[in-house]
Amino acid sequence: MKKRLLVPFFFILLMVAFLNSSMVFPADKPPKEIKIGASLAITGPFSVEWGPPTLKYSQALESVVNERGGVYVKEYNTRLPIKLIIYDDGSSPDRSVELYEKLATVDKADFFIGPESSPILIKASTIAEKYGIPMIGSCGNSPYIFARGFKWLVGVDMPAPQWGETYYAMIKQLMDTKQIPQLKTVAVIKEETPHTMDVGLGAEHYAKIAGLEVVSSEKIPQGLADFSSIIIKWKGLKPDIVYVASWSSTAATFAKQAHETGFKPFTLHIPHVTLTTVWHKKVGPEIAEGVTGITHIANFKSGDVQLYNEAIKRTGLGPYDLGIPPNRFLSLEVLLKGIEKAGTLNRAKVMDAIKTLRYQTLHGEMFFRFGYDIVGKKCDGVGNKPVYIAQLQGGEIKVLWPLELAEGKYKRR
Amino acid sequence: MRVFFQLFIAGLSLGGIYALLSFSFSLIISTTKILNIAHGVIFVWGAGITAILWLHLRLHPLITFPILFLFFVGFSLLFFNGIVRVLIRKGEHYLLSGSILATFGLAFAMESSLGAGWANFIDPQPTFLLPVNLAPIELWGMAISSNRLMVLFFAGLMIMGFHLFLKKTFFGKGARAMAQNFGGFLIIGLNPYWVSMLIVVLATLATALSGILYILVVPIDAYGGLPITLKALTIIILAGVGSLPGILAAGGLLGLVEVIGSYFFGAIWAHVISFAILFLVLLFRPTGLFGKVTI
Amino acid sequence: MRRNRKVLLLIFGIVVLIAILPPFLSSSMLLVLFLSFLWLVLTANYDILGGFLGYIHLAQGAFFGIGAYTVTLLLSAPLIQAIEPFSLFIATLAAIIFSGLFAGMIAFPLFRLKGLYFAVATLVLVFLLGALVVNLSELTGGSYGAFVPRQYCQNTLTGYYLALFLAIISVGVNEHLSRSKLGLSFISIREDEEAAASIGLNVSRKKTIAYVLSSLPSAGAGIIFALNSGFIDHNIALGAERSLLPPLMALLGGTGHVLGPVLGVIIIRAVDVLFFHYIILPIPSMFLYGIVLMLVALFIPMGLLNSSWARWITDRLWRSHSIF
Repeated sequence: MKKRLLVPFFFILLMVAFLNSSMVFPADKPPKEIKIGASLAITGPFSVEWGPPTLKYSQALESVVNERGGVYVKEYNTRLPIKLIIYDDGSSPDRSVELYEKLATVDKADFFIGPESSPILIKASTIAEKYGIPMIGSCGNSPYIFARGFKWLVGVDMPAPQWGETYYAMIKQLMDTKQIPQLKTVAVIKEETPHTMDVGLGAEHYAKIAGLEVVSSEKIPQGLADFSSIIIKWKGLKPDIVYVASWSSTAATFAKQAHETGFKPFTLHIPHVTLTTVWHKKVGPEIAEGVTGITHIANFKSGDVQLYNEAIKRTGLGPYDLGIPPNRFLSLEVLLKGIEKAGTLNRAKVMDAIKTLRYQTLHGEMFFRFGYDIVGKKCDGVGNKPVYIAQLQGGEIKVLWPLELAEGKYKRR
Repeated sequence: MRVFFQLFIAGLSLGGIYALLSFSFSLIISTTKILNIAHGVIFVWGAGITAILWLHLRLHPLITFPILFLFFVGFSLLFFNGIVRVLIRKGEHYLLSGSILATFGLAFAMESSLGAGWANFIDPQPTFLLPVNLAPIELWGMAISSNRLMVLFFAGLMIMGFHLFLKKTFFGKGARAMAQNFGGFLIIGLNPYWVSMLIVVLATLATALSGILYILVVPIDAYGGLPITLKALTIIILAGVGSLPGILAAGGLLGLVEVIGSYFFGAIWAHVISFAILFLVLLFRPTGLFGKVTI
Repeated sequence: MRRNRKVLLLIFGIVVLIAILPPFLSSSMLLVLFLSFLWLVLTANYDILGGFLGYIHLAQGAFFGIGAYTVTLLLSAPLIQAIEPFSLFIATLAAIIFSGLFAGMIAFPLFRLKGLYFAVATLVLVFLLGALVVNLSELTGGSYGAFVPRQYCQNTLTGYYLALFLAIISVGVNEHLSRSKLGLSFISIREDEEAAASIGLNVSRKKTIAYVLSSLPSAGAGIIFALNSGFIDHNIALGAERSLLPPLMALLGGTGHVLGPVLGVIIIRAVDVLFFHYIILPIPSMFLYGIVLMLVALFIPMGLLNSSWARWITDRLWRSHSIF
């Protein structure tokens, strides 16, 4: 290039830059839509407990929200539709990180919803933290995710250890009202994955609420196929309650083997098997009847139940076929309420709004807790969405606790 | 004493399950030298299709078994013509690498289609389990799982059946000849096409049947195929490639060690113990416990 | 020789191109390439054993995982943190040395085995390490995993260059092996181990050298990964995927060829990114990924560089049969 051309060239460059930066758009020119990005385990091992149906529900929710006109954003004085951009991460934490990077920088998502399963959420949330994008976790509720001092992550679900608290409260009430005899001992199985270990920790930690003693706590590797060593030991110990903190498949192996070898504790509590009715179908009624567990679904009476139910109807499936609709519903609702409260799409303001959010939703009042101590870890941004204790009765899932939402009474096995 | 007896039976039953996972894999690799990574996925498909037909569509067993038979014969013929023959034609030298690559891709495709398909059309959790719960056998005050014993029994039956097939029948001997000396095999006028096709079809049927038996006791999910292939691989190596009855013995040994080890050290050590045993056995017997064929 | 200079210039040009790429890349592509370089390290290292030595090795991820875990655990130890500003350097060095020592030790029992038995023993090794990491939870954090203290974490741009550098070294090692006496001794072991021993080669020593050589850059890859990721657990660091994909990539590209791993990594990563990042169909991405893999394998089961087309091209270009 000739030197003479250089100076005018630079001038033109400067002009263009100046014009670009000085072209300040008036504040009320709104974006076309609110982009919400997520990766989900739709295929791969983590998809087994909540894969494609979760995607279906999320998409149904999106369409109902948009039909209602979307979200009101005060800054632009208009309602904006939402657009969910959901990728399949194939259950790979590596890929999930790549996809969230893409969502942040290429797809230009405004906000994130978290992926499913703790090992993936813990990695994906680093992207949210890196770019300062609010991420609402829907299912991952392991304390170790929330004890890192991250500022851009919240999770709606109550921390997993607290599931034990709810269960033992029910047991205590049942004993106090003489519906069941006085129980004394608990035996716990903990499957060695973060989530199930957390649930197991809660099983041990909160037993004293009901005055119960934990006589045995066995850790098992993921997907163990033979429980004879444990069953033989426990036949001697004769625990009243057996608390199985494992994934539903492993629990099925245990329940079958216990049944086959004549091991019948007074009550069997397996949190993960009452999330859907399929467990009952697969292990058969002789084993499944009377087993208690937790569920995220109940006959909700408060909050925007209509939106929740309308989306379910639109998928054409029942709530129990969708696995965890309340969690997906809640994470989206929290985000939208946060946007409404902040009145803008500015990420920092929305995040602050979310953190101080208090509103009526399906389970009652929704808010997040900070500096919250859970079994020794200080956690920030954990929500208070509770779980409900349910029992398999007649092939159906009946909520037993809390009493306001109960659909049935505890039946002995 | 009663404890040991129960542990013993439990260990043997677990061994039966391990043998079930692996013997058809050994069949294919010791005769056709194809390393079928999709073995575990076919196993899972056997379980899954049965679950669809039996549990979901509620068809009678007399209808489900013919459908399964036809489905898997059809599948194995596709597999044979689409993959095995293509690879053999490319050159026997590349059979191993080609079969690994091709069956890897097949495994991914099959497991994701089953997982997503099931979750979208059947129920949200693609896990397969048959709610067959036989009454336990009561023996001297102990309860023994009859489901598992049944699995052990059938695994043993199938293995011995295939073993006799390979040793005594014409086609079986032909298959072994094909693996031992391909040139000689051709010279004596046998047709490698028919022999290998028969083996592939039989092995596929056996794999699918094993999957069905497996889910009488342990549930499996749509993505459990690859771990099963890896487990099957380790068991046939422990037994030594080329010995089908050896698989029963190796499985039994592994099962016993796992169960007894879990009892004394805690169930969390079950897998570590079995891996350690595998490793140690290979150190002292580099071709497995009963190995004959070297790959 | 003229041929060598042309080729070297071409390679140099490509490397420079890759080095100046970052400003033009989206951050997700930066991450994709960063991870791809790490896969190239693993695959190239694998090929020392699988391609040159002729032993199918299914534990490449073990070195990756040992490197990752060692550096993470060391950096979390107060003793190491106290020796600022050398902490990172010392921890990295220690992790690499430890991995090499491990490789050297485990080579003795492993190389008593051959063929499929060797392959499965290495697979069992990976499983064993994974299970041990989970069980020894006091030390490693168990299934919860371990965090790298934030002050040592590296951003993706740094990781990109480190990984690129390591990848160049790994491929360079393979290139050197393809022309050196050491590499020739590996190939002779692959072709006929007994004959190699009979001409005076210390076969077990060569095998151990190969094993240790193959472990060092892979451990480095694990270290770079951990420092970028900030968090590792037994699936991320010691998962089966890290041990099973390198042989797959090497096979696809053509084992025993210096550029084989490069091609294999490019193909698989490209297919992966294409189907998971860009194509959103009702059909799951994994299904398409598997089908493509299968089709590619059926057309070129011997790997790209061993296929007749590749030989035709290299014959035309170089007019001689070279391993290159």
